[in-house]
Amino acid sequence: MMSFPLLEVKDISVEYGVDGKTIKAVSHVNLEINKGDIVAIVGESGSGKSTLAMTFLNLIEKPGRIRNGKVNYRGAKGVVDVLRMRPVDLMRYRWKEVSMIFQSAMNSLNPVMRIEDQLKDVMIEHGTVESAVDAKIDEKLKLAGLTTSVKKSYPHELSGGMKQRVNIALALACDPKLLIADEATTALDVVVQRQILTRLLKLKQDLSLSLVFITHDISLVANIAEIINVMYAGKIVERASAKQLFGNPLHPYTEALLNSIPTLEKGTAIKGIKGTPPDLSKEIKGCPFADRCPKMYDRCLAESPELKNVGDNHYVSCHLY
Amino acid sequence: MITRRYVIRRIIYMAITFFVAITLVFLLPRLAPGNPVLIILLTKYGGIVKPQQLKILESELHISGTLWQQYVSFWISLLHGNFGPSFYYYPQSVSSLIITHIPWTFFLLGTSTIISIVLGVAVGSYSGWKRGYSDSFLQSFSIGLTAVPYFWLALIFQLVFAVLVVINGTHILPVAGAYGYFVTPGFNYQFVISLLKHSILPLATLVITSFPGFALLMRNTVVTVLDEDYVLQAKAKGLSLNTIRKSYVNKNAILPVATSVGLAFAGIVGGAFIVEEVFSYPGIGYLLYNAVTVYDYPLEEGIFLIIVIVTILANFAVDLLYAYLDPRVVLK
Repeated sequence: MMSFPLLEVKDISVEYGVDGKTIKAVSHVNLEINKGDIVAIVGESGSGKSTLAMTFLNLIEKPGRIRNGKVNYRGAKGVVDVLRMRPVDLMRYRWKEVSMIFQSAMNSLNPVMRIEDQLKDVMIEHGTVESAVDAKIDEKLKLAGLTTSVKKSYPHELSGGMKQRVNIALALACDPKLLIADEATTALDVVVQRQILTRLLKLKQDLSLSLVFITHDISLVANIAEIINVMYAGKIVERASAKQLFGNPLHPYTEALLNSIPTLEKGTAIKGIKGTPPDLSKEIKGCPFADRCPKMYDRCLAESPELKNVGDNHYVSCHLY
Repeated sequence: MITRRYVIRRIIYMAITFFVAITLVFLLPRLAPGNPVLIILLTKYGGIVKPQQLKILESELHISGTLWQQYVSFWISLLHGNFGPSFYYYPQSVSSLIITHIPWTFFLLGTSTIISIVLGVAVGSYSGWKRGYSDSFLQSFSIGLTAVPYFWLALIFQLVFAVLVVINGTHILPVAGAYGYFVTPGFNYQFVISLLKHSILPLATLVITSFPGFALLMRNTVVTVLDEDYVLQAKAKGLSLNTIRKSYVNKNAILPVATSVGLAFAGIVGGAFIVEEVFSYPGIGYLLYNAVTVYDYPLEEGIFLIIVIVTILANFAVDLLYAYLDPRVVLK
């Protein structure tokens, strides 16, 4: 049976209009997420990974706008384009089908509402009956590894790790099919990071979730993601399984990224990447990585490379291949 | 969260503030140049004043002796809750004067403050939420209004609605006072209608000049809150716009507004000095204005005392309210 992806992003471009300039945060990205997948999107700050994730929920707001493209979601009633839903349908879709753990988990809880009320409002909105809410709140908090006593707390009374778990509990509140974790562990220390990741993976197994991991830390997703997308300057420059990507990185950017991970082995120096990412408010004619790339040749400046399959579902956007 | 320790400490602070404020209330009128006894004698009785008469009246009014002696007797009468008779409205007592005037001020300022707050918060919340044209309009309107002196606005209202425009041989609204000359106060139809008619212009002046402040404040905090991550998350949660606005935006945006609301309520007892004067509205502001112009020390002291007490208590109440509204505030 041909499996149709759960979520399919087609040729999406997002721009931000700031001070009369147009910043092309995401340009012409295609992405598929299948049921049960763990997909990672890796890239440095400003590479467009969070913006891309926001389109999954049609959450791009002014000054941002979606230039073109589709986000097709396969729900119970067939395939729908999230970007062209009626507002009522969009409300039902958000959180019920796709939910998200936000980048700024520390600030994404309402400071003047108790934790239980923040779980409750979304449950009620998405059709949980009043009498079932309490039991469900306890269940979700336990799933996220919290004691149920935190439900009476306000956000400021919790530690960073606990807030992060509350956000996980929140994200699970309506039993979504797809969970986006946007830098979900970035603000936490490594011990708590590990706990949260293990928790998310266990949940994925138990609840048959699909997961999208967004991070700037490629080493974080090395062991967990099935497919890794490397983003640079608003484009996916390489897509491969974790094994392929770490064993045989094709794009010079990926290679440089992997070289910049500290290792425990003796004598391996960490290498940075020279230069800075391109200014996305200017038209880039060739490859966006060209002026930082050690393997650059004249074609790279003249022509923008396409993302192409170089065999075994390993995609790369580079003129070298 | 409020601890008992906080409340006790706060009460001590309030007592100190009260003491200092009351001392100032005693000193300020006496520091102003001019002699109340002379004014009373000249305005009420006229003619030549003999030094003995002056002395007798001074001791009668408790303003003879050194400042220190006066201060002590001031505290004694204060602790007895008795300010004695007013100089100007002699022999009416200060307390009876305040009691007859304060309901008018409560009515006028209570009503206008509540309308201003409700209107200001509603308009500000809407404007910050919607942005666009209505928002630009509110901003220029409010800033424009803060440049308009409210006594001037009061005079223009009087001129237009009570003097210039005449319909069927009568003016639209009365020019001054709290109720008509020929109605008897009490719960009767004519009195209530007259009361309402007389209150329209002063109310309009007060509301128009004070609601934009609340609106602008609310609008600005709403705009700030809308940028918060928890509002974005609330949208991602698929909550209805109504819920987002009520529980996520307004609940957070109202916090800074609560402070100015509390202080506005404290201002109610003080009356609206100039508006009451322009409309000859028999409130506390009007009474105070007269007391100051005729050097009526006890009356000034009595009115200021009430203002001081209410302001101190209102500040305390605002802090308690804040702790209640914002769970992050800990008072200890």
